[in-house]
Amino acid sequence: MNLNEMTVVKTAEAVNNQEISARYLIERTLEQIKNNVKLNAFACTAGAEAFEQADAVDQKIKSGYSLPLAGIPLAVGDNIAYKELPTAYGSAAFRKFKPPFSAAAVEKLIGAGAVVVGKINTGDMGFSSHKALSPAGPVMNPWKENRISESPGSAALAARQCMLALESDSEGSLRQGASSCGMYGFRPTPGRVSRYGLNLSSGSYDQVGFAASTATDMGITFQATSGYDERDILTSVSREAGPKPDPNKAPGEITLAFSPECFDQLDSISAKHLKQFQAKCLDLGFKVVESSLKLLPEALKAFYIIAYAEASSSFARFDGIRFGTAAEADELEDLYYKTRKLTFGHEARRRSVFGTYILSKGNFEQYYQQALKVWTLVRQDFNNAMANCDFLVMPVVSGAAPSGIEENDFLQRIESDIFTAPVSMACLPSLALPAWQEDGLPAGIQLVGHPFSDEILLNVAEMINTETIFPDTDKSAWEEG
Amino acid sequence: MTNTRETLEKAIQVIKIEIDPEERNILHDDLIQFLEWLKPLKALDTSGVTPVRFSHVAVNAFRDDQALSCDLKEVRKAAPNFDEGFYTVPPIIE
Repeated sequence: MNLNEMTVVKTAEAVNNQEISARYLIERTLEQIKNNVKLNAFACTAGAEAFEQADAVDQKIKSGYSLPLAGIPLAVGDNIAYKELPTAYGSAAFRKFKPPFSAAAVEKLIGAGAVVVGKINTGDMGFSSHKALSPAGPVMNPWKENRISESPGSAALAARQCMLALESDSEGSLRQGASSCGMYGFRPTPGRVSRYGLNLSSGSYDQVGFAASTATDMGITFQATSGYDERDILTSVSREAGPKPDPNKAPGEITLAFSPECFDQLDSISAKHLKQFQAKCLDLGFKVVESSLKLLPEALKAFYIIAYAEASSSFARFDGIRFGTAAEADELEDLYYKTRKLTFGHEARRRSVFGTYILSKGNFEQYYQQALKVWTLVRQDFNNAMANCDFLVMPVVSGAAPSGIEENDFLQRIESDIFTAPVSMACLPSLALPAWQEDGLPAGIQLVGHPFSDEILLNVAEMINTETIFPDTDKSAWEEG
Repeated sequence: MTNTRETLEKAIQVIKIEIDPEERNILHDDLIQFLEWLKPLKALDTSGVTPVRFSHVAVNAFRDDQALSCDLKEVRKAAPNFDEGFYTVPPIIE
């Protein structure tokens, strides 16, 4: 059995049939992580607790249970709580912090048989490592030296250091990283998966999402994690049934829309590939139409005003009193000042300061209030664009994987979110899937659905059925399988 | 833009965070760039547009108010300073 060719579905089946054990899978995965530490995908790896979980899975299977994610090695974002391992939020101050609870999505995945192999590095305070360097440094892209991945889970997945990753998505880092690593990255409709245990910097945009190597794997993962959770009010929408997927729907009954404005925002190479992808969709039998998205640049600006404002508010809780690390201080005021210096990196300080500036007297109306009005227009823009189609097909980024964090280019990095942040703002489900390769680097497109069309969206991705290709990294730990 | 520096310094004070002078200058320069970048948004005609009030489609979802059990040992482990069932802070009254 060559584990290199195994998907989540096939692997769980092999574990359920007792062809391989969960313990064996975890041993191989931890070895694979050790084989490529230069990738820097993991903040910490599990030890005895992973083997205990794996043994519990093996025991359950011997007792006659069948688990949808039996023994699947799972990587969890370092801004998502898991009580067995430190949850550091990409901050030096939280390196040893163990939350007293696990996130709802982590609980559900473990309940479905997955085994946590480690916490994956995030940028400063959970932001994308493309925008916010954490003390751990950037997560590298396994496809090419000197390129980074915006999604640590996708990098780990592409390097076979896990089979599934759970991480957050706000402005689009998960989808962008999945695209630049040739993987699938899914941001579900807000409310479909509980955010309980996710460290929120922006309550309006942050969502729990997943990285996987096939659309089918993503579907099983989504099924295992979605649903009502009384600890997250947003999931109350999950009580209402969304549109049911129709397994018999043929591509000819599905309309995909491409936006001319997206082509205008792309570099010439990416635009050429997107055109080719459009032709592929026609060949597959989908109906293809044009739909206009007029407000992408404005949406991006409004997105960042609101994201900064919300970050400045939500970071107030890091005061060194209730959790984490406290700085040495003789006075309470001093405790706040010194603890926050210890906790926040440059990007978190920037977001806090800019957000407070935006919300200050005299600026609130012209920036924040204006952004909220533009948000209404952005929703209308997406509603109009999707009125005559089932799904929008959009780029994820223009160009290939980024080369790293350069000084003084923060606006350039913000502008790379022009296709992903507006989708987050419109509260729509979105899946990045592999689409093409250029100069040895993969790139993806995103399928954007109507609210609550998550299952149908994953079905359509299966119909498109792009082959997932893995980089030629060291796979020795797997090949022994 | 004349008051940008002053408002930035006030914002730092409101947040209660130590930021050294060199980084304050970087933040100031970045803020000027950011505000310049936002100019087209300020110019967009939004008269008559209702601002978004709720980011998500969820409306109030009520449930019974129940006290959840809490393991004090776990809370103590997560807190920087904890004593006799309370979080402790530096003295605030002399």
